[in-house]
Amino acid sequence: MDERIKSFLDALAANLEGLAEDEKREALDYYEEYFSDALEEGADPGELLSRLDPPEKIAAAIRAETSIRLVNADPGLKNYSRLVKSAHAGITGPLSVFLLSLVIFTTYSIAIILFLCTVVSAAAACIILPASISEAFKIPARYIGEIAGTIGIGIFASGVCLLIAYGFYVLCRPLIRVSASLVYKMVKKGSKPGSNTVEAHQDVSGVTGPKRVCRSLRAGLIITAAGLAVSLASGLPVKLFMIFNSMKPADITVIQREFGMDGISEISIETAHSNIRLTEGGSGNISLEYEKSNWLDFDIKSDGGRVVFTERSNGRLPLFSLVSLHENRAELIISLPSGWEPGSVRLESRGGTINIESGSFPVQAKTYTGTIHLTVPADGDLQEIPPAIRAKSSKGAIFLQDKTTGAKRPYGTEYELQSPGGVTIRLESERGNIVLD
Amino acid sequence: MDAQMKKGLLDACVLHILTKGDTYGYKLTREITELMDVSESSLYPVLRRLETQGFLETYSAEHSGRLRRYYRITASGAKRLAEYKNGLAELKRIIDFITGGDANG
Repeated sequence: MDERIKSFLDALAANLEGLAEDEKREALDYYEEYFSDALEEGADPGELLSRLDPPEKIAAAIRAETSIRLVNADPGLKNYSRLVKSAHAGITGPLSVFLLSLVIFTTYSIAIILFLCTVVSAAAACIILPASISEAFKIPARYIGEIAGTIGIGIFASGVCLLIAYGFYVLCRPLIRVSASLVYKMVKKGSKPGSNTVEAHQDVSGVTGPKRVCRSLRAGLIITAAGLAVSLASGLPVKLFMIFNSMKPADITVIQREFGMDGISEISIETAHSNIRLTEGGSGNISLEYEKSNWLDFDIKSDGGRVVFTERSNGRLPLFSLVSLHENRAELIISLPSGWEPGSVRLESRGGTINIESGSFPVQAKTYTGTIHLTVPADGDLQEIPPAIRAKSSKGAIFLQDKTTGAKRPYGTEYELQSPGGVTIRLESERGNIVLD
Repeated sequence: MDAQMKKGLLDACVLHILTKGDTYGYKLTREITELMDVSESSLYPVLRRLETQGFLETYSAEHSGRLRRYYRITASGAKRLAEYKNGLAELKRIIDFITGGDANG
């Protein structure tokens, strides 16, 4: 065989390296046979070769053809990168190379972002479900509805995350398909005019297993819907929604206690996220009126000159540390006999609002996310000396008659009002606002 | 002729040539290149693709002491060609319209 033809075939073989063995064999066989037939019919080797594209181009076209077929059958990154490799071999002009790189870079960037989104959502799904189950196990067994609801929410949320993950994954496929057909067209343009024919998106035998995907998708939807149904049936989402939107709970029990003020010098109140209102009332006793929500427990006692109230979760709601960041519209009202001045009143709530409607005795109020309102009643008694106020909020703002006030300090905002009266009201909030009227 | 237009016609040409009888790569290429100006190396990918799409099939037969690969049109290939021809009938009307005044139109 002619030397030139031999070296042509060698170059072709070298350029087809990396292609599936049978595809490569097929192409080489074709060209070997082609030359044999041509020579047999008396063609001149030099002229014959001049009618063909150079072996690099031929190989690139074959590779592109093969890989576009694979991409169409299964538009994954693996097949795409194969196509890209063949495209690199087949494209030479600097502008084409630049455009090709641009297309490839964009595709990979988007694909990577989509892939990361898939991973993040799938990971979220993997975390949410076990977390919700472990939350559910912390709920006392008698609150079976809340347990089911918590698991239901977990199933629903992780199901949604998985569906989102699947959505991102699926988005990859049309992206790769479109990009592959672009790359493919560029490869075609690089060869001699008319040297190939395929529309890249031509019907290649069906994508594998859409039925199986459909079935698992449907199963996922059913499980997700079941989780939603269970959690809705338990009423838990509604309850959480109401709490997160600071709505008054539907189901409350009012509890009233009264204590004689004799011998009492200190009042200490602590709630998780129920609101606290401190007023000076008409009755001659210290009276506590507590609107108890059914996910909270409380404890009231009076000993050694102190009245102590504490509130905590009874374990019925999941994620109570998060729930208690939101105020519960149910209220604990403490009314003190007018004119009576206790030695100290301490009010503390994590997420609830504290309303202080008094100014004649020392009060210390503290919240984490709750708001503190201080209204010193103007009851016409102008003789009364206003209290000194020290207010401090790390992340929240301090308002004085609807205007922000206070000095900025490294740890937050601070407001101070001096008064000769000797009564000081201390207000402190980590994240909530402090409102002074 | 426009490269894009040729691309669409190449499949149809190959299938049409095969309706006149089975043939082998070199001969097929010669027939096509006599008809239109395409690179001789452009035929292989077309044949390979038509084969994987099931429009044609191959078989080997002995020829002067070696095996030669022959191409044969399949039933679905014939169907595909008929579709092409339907499409081309419209194209022909358009061509006739454009070149209507010419003697050879």
